[in-house]
Amino acid sequence: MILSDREIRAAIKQRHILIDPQPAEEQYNTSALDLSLGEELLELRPLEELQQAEPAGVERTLIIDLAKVRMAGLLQAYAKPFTRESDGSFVLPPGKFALGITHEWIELPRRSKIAARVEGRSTLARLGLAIHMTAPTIHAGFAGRIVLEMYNFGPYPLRLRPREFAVCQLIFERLGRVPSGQIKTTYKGQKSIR
Amino acid sequence: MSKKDKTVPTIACKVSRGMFSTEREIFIPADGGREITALVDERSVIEPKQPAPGESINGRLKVSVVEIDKKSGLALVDLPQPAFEVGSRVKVSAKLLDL
Repeated sequence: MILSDREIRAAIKQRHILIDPQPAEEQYNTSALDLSLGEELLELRPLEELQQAEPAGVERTLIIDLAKVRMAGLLQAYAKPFTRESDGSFVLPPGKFALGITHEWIELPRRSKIAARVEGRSTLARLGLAIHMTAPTIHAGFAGRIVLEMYNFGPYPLRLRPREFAVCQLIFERLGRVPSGQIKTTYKGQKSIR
Repeated sequence: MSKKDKTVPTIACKVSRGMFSTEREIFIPADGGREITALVDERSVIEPKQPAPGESINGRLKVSVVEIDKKSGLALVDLPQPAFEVGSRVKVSAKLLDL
């Protein structure tokens, strides 16, 4: 069951959904909550840039073996901050991939029996902006800001202003039962199982 | 988060900087000698200080404990965000946990 705006508001009030900062009224839709873009945007270094680091005459052939790669290390080594304009905005050119992050921090406590899906916004999609790829589920128990895999499929450069527009929306869904695992309660007050 | 939050279970981990400034990369020794890595929000980590670039420090990650098998000494825990190698649910040594 998808939560309505009234149910989302009540869940936030009862701390079944934790969100920081608290959403403004304009962020509520009938069955979703809009989130805004955070202050950081990252891009993956193009192959040409990596090749420039090689000695003259050496060409880098980069193939990422998905079964063997240490993904976190690779992303840290190959990601760099997206160029920021003097007014603090980012311009995403056509055909460009970037990693964004929501301004809002979200937690969905397991006891709340709530999961969510991050979705784009149809208005932005009409201009070609996709904000996630293949992994929309925010599982029960999640805590953090949501990373956005953004891509401009459209023909025009798009100016992205952090915190100034709704970049995506969260659709909340209720789980049938609390996820397994209640050890915290069982062992409450115990220092350790050692 | 720098203060220790005693209301939730935590697991010992290595902490270094993440991709975004509000992220941390965590390393947990997992079942079978593997190492689990994940990028998590800074609020999910209890750390004595913010790690410097390239630095790895000892910290604790807030987790949900699903199950503890006292016979094998292993615990099944849910991480606040999925690990790269597996999903959110990983099997670790129960000795690493602080309940």
